Amino acid sequence: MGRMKKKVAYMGLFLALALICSFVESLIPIPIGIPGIKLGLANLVVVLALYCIGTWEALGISVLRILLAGFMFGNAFSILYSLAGGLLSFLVMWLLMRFLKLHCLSVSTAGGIGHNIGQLVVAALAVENFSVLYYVPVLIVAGSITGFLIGIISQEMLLRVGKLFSGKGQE
Amino acid sequence: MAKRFGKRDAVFFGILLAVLGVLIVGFQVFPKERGGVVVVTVDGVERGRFSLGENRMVEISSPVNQTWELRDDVGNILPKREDGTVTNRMRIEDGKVQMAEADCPDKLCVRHKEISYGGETIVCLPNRVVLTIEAVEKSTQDAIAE
Repeated sequence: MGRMKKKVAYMGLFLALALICSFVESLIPIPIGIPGIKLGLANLVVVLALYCIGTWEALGISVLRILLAGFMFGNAFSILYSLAGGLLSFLVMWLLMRFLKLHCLSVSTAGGIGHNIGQLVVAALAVENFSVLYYVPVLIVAGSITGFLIGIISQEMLLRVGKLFSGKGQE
Repeated sequence: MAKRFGKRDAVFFGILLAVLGVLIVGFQVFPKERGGVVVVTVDGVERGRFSLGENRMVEISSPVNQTWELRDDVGNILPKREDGTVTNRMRIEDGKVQMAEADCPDKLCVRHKEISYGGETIVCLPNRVVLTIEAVEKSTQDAIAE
């Protein structure tokens, strides 16, 4: 199978996985009382794609996942929140991976924080009221915890299934 | 062979733990101030302030052009209003504020826990409504200034 075909097939597979993760996540209530805090299961797939397939492919999977999951389980506003979180999270993860050469445990943790901050900033901008930023510390702590948990899973998965992919991200 | 953890990761987690430590200690050190008033803003413009001392229900109408369907709490689609406004209802009870109802599509504001300390906020992004608690001291200063 050609490289290109292989990549397309993997992307479809990852996107499907990410959508399932979004769906499962939408069924799990997190009774903290501050909306916006969630496990970020779909980020597991994005982290894996980042290490196994490639940067642009992972970004594509992330954006498509957000749009499709938004249409299926959410609404225009959940798409807005998720896009802001997803894009900032992706940027942070890519920078740490590309330039600091961090492993995926750190990358995923930083991604969790980035996701929460992105959501909060877009909320503050949309309502033109920055008092919302009161929750930044809480969301940094929450993002670190969820990102760390996702990081542990993706790290163990990478060690086990990473070699099935084209070798990208394997050091 | 892929490694789990490197020196750089250790540095990263060192910095992160330091930041988290500062945040958590900071939250413990600075005591939360009991709120005095709740400030309602729509689209960034202050629309009203209400004392937390008085139990009441406040209806907040915002002139947002509805591009989405109005829904009630169980998800039924409500007819669109002719004047193009959307509504949130805020409940003040025993010094705590909660968003009791909202016709926004995501209901994140309704799911937000009740707020009562200075600085805490509830946001309804679709309807552009923000509730912010102001601490007692500041509100009395404002009252004196006015």
